Amino acid sequence: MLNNFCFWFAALVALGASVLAVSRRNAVHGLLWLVLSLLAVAVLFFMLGAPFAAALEVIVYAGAIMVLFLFAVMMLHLGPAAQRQEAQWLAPGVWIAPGLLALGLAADLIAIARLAGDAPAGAGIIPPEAVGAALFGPYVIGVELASVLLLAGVVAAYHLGQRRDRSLGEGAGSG
Amino acid sequence: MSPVPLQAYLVVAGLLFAMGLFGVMTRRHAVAALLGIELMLNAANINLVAFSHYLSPNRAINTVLDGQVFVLMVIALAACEVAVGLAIILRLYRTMGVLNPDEASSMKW
Amino acid sequence: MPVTNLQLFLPELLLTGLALAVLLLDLWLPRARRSVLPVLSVIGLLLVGLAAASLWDPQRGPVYDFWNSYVTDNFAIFLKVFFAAVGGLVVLLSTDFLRDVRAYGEYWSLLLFVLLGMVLLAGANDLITIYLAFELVSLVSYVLAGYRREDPKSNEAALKYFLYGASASGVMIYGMSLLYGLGGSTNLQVLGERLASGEVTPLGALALMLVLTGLGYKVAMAPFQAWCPDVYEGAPTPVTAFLSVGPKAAGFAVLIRFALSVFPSLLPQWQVVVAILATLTMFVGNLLAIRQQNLKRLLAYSSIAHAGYLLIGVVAAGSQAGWGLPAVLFYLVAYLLMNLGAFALLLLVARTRGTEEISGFSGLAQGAPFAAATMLILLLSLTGIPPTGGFVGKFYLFAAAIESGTWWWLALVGIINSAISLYYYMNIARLMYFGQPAPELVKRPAGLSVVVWVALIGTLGLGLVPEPLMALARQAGMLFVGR
Repeated sequence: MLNNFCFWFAALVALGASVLAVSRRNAVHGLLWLVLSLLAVAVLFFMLGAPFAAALEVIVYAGAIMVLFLFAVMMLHLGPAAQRQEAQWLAPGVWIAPGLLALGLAADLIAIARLAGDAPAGAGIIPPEAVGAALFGPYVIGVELASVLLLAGVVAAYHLGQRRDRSLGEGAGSG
Repeated sequence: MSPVPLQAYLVVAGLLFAMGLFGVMTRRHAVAALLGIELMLNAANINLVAFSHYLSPNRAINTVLDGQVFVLMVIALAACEVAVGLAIILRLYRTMGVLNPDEASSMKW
Repeated sequence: MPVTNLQLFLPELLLTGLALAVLLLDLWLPRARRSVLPVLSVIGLLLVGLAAASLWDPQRGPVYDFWNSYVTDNFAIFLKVFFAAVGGLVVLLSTDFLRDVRAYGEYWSLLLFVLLGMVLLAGANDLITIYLAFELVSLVSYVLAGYRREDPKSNEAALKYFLYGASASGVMIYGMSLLYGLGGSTNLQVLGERLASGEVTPLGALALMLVLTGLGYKVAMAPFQAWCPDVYEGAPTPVTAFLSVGPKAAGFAVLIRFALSVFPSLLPQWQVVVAILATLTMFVGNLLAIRQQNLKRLLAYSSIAHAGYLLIGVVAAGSQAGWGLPAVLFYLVAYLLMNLGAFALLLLVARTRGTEEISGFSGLAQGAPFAAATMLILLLSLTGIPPTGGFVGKFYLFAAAIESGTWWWLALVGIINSAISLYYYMNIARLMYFGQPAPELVKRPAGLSVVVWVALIGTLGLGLVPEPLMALARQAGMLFVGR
């Protein structure tokens, strides 16, 4: 019963927050809604017996990736129009709704943590150890590939991020 | 014991995916489009975890792990994709001062 | 089965080592000595190609490794050698461009990372591996397209490529998640068996469509081709040359493996879809190419059209793997040679005349007869006129369509389209031979000259003696025969 309630609540939060995330004009607002949506998705993962995926969803997705987004948006400092929107930032109408939803979600998380004792149907809870062991067993090629991917991503972002080459002008045209 | 049926999760994932796709298609702002893409990836993640949970009773542990490991890989990839994507967006902003691939257009059809 | 034989993994290991070595050497070497990096890359890629070729064994069936997530079969080996060749030629094409922008060694390591992704894609046998390798190829390709970071056009190309590509991969991963739900596994063979045992469900069809959409973007299949001309025009020319052959071929490799090992049960459905898309792709590519004045853009549309021809082979492979697959592989090789050759000549001409418009080729025959003649042969090959590799490749593709019975009309569509393409390819030839004024190609950088020679000899060689390559392509395609 409680399980059922948690699911519907998390699902509604995820959906509602996603609607807002894609519909907000202000990129920062959209981002914050997306964070909420991701937290709700993490709750769903948890209910599905995937605590490891749930934790990573929070730490990596809602944490690291969204912060990266936020930094980028700030570096884009969007001029006066954006600043006017910034002024609205402190209006209660803007933050009160996400605040309440986030609170509700937190309550939801607590309720689920209490539920964790009785395993749901299906596979039950897969502990992080099992996932970790599998990563370096059957899925080792995937892990190696992911590491190469991240390395390539670092090199790529480094190349694009560099400001200007000292002393080296780049030729015009595109030959 | 879990009264929530698999279909419910799939419906949620489907809705999220639809929203993400809608966002990618409607928003011209590159960062907003990227947000839509993140929603799509998350929808896929919900599917993967839900399937891994519900498919498993009659099948091997491999089935469960396939889904969960896949989710981890998608998350790792999303991190990389966002980093590269934002780097590209910032670069375009620096050279052209726009955030919108259509606005930037220096090439004609 | 766990890791059994690392020897079969040698090409991948070598390539990874090469990419890392180049990355580190770029840091350590003083700026003046960094010109050794492309040389090292070419030698390394040669070794990778040789290592892959040494694994060739027509008698051996597929060897599954890494707990079945990776497969070494002749199809994969053929493609690995092909990708090593792509890499080597693109490095040669790029040396000159990089000297111009006085650039940074990241280029070489990034290029090698994409190649690694492509090589892994050729052997990936699991949704997870396919997805990751696919993304490695895509992500680094976006950055290569935007490599000239001070050039707005290049930036724009990168952003467009990124937004389209990332959306496509989002669609594809959703399709893959549904596939996993249907088959309860991420292994291609297991998926194929489980899908075949059940009846065709709407969910299965949906999964197929979503995955097809994702791959369709990668190979620039209509109606997902909108990004292609802008990206190809904006990207630095050597990168454009690479994008038009490398990632595209990798996309075809996955498409074929997917279609033939996961979806045999949905064969009639996907054949119809791909056949329609192939027709659309050919017409869109060729009709829009006619009006282009910029040669890079023209080659972009032409590469869309060529993806359409290749799709004919994919459709035919569904009913007649013995014909369709070798035809696709053969055509990929022929396309690599003629397309990279054309890009090399474009680079040479653009160097002298400072324009990438078609008008840059005007009167080339008087100033540089050899270059003009080579371009003519490559254009003939792109159109599909003997005695060139393009002709033989198209012949095999159309023959495969006719041989498959139901899909004979695709051959007809292909021939009509070749006729359309004759117009815009020969327009360039007309300009070269009858246009004014006559430029001389003052500088001929060694790398570009090598590519031009390889393209010329290869295109003519494939046109006159196609049988050796075709025999290899047949052995590579054997794997899927009888399914």
